[in-house]
Amino acid sequence: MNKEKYAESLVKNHEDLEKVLRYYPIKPETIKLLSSRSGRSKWLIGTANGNFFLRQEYINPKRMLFIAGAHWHLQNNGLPIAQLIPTRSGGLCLSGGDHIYILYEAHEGDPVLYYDQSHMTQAMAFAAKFHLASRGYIPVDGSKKRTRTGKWHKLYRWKLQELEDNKKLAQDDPGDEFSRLFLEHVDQMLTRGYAALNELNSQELAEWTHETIESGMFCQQDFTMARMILKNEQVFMKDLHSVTIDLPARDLRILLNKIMKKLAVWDQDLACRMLRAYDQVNPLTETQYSVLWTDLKFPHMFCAMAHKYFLGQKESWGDEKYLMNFRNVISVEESKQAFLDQFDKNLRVIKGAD
Amino acid sequence: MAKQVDLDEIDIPKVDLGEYRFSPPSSMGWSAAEYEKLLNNPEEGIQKETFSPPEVPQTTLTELSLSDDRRVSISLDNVPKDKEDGSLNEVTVEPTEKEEVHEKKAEKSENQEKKEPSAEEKAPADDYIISENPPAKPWLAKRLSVFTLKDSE
Amino acid sequence: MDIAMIATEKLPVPAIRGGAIQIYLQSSAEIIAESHQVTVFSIKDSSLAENETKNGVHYIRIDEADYLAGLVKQLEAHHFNIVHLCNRPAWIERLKAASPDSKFVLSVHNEMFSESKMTREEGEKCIQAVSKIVTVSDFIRQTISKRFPDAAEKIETVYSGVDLNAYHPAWTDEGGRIRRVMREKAGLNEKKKVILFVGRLSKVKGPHILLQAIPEIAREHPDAMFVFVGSKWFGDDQVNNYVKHLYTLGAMHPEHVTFIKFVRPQVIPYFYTMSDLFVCSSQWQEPLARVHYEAMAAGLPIITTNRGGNTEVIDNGKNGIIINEFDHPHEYARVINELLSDVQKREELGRNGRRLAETKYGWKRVAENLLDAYQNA
Repeated sequence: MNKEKYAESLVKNHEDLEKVLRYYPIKPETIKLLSSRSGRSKWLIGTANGNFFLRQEYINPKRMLFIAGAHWHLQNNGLPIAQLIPTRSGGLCLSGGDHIYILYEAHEGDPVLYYDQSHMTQAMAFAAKFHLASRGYIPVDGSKKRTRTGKWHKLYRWKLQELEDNKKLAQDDPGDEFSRLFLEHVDQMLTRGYAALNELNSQELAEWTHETIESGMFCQQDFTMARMILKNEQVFMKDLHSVTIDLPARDLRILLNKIMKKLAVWDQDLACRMLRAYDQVNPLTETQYSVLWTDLKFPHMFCAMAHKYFLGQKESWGDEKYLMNFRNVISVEESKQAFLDQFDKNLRVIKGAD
Repeated sequence: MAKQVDLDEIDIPKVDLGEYRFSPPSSMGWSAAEYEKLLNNPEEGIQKETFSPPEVPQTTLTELSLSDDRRVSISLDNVPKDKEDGSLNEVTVEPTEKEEVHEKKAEKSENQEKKEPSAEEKAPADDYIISENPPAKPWLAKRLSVFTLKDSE
Repeated sequence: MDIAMIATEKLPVPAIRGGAIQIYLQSSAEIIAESHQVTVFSIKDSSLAENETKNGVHYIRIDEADYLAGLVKQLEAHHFNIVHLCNRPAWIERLKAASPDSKFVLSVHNEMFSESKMTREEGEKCIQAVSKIVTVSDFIRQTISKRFPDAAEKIETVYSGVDLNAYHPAWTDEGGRIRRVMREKAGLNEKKKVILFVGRLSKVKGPHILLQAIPEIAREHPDAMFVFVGSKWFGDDQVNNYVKHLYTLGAMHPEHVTFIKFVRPQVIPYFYTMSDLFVCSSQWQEPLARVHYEAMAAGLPIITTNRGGNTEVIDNGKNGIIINEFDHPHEYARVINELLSDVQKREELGRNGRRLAETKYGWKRVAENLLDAYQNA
């Protein structure tokens, strides 16, 4: 498409968007397309009142209503999050049948850095605020919830079975470097995984599951610093794409795994410091920490790596890139063991007793 | 209850398992073949591109609210105004259809990170980050390492 | 009696697009309509009229987008003595308000009363408003009464059924003919020992466990062939990650694995006839997969897992074999190898299954049970 045609198409695009924006109590002055990927597009809307993001997303509107309702709930409970802007008639978002629009404040700030420990402890404190603010959420009638509570057994069992399946695939091609590395470590990972699966039969999980469902609380489900900024030296959420009803442990496990992957090793001290930062805002009980320990014990990262490889998910990754990432993951999973083995000691540190 | 079906008319479509036999990626990844094609025919690659902005469908929109009697509103007094430096993570990388594009570093952010799709989610599809101006020249990098994804995923 | 039977918002009735609940409704409605007025409500479909009468059943179809609201309007406009609602306890309140003088019967086809799907308050309200709850298995009945003890006196199990005329055991004349033609079309000579899996290709159904058992089976029975019939969702032929994973695993043993792409529901019975063994490898606590009834009706020996309600229709050693270690490929290999080596045992299990299906699992019995439930509501 040449420059003129592109400019024309942009003008038409902005005209179409103005019709959408008329549902909102704002007077748009400028519209700028920022990104468009994986069924999500984002525009920056400049008005005399300030800047907004308009997001278009191809998603089941009933599911979006669940997420938008959660967003509204969080901001009303004082979570530092870009505010969702309702329509003129008080709606949370707009539905076009197979897609939605949602408008929220456009905030910018400094990035939250994975390599900055004080940023990370603040991020954990934010996660705690998120979980606290999520309490009491009652999804709208007709919205489509996503629930993972009560599905932990199923999920663990499936991931272990997939690992066993991938073991067969690796054994079929022992000359492949990745498969060789996989086979060296898979049995140890399976042992840990089965042990974690066994621990799920505990009363601890059942209790926390029940409490979570009763309280209405939910998780972000995939915390990433790409959607956070530092504003007035506080962690602030500038984008909320999704939420899931699950134990807070899920968010903690994902965040800790993600950070340690960046460091290529499980840093015990950092892990304790981060959990302490969380605990100071949303204190968890010893039994809840034992559930988190189980979820950390389960080799989620190892399973995810094998899943990506044997399904050919990353089309642009070459063999070296896969190996590099895999070695990284193995290093983190293995160095995590020392942390897991010291539950009592680490818990004392987390609780500030040590 | 079920209608009787004429046996002779039945077709038994089978999956060709040969298509699914696992083979490890080469040094350039499974999509290397695509790169090679584009490298050999850059003009063709450009002509195939469609840099149109995302469609705004002409469907009637319905407002989704908490409930019929729970309409909500908010004060717009505290909405952030224009930033001093005027930029908002604008990027100027020109995309292709099948590339996994990564964002160029914005001036201030060192660690902008793409969302990591979890094992339960689909792999991201086409990935565009578009500036207001269409691409001025062919995007093809001289070295494929430009398209290495940042950080680990 | 004037009876309304309400399907879920997922698929239309008659079950032109499949669906266990839809088949259940259609089959029992046609029999009940022989002696009562029956109206079946379901969603619209482009190939079905909005209103029609077929095989004595009056069908009213409503837009999926406003299904519940549409149902409310219908119940306000027409009075029914009995309203049988399938699997949507959350709708009872509104429907009851629309028709307070009707007796409500709720059929529960899976774990709709679980903690993650329904609050205690919602559950109790629903149970109060209905006159009877019928479940597809004891397993489901017990999960409800465990959480809501007050419901126990209102719940009974009504097992589902199968169309006995649609399934032909291989030992019948018709069955023999079907078997020959199907095997020829599938490229499977009579020497092949066909192990059939029918169902959604999903993690919880466990077909990947069967693939893991292949090496052990193939060592003893080199002519064994697994045939997988199913797809992700009723009518969908897309390959998602799990299905790709299955195909990748299967590709390691192409001489022992055949995946059939989606076929019309009417053709599926013929696959049973062409097979020698039926296996259900469910990993989750499922209510009771209707494939068990189908395999019985086709005179196939059944191997199944001890998950959920599946074992309720299996007399271990008589019409099937139950596997307790449901995630151990070796267990499937062991049982399959034994049965493949014993043609007499297979025939005995198969004939027992057919007999059981004829006495207990025809739609006539289901309709009678439902009518009883309506009359005692």
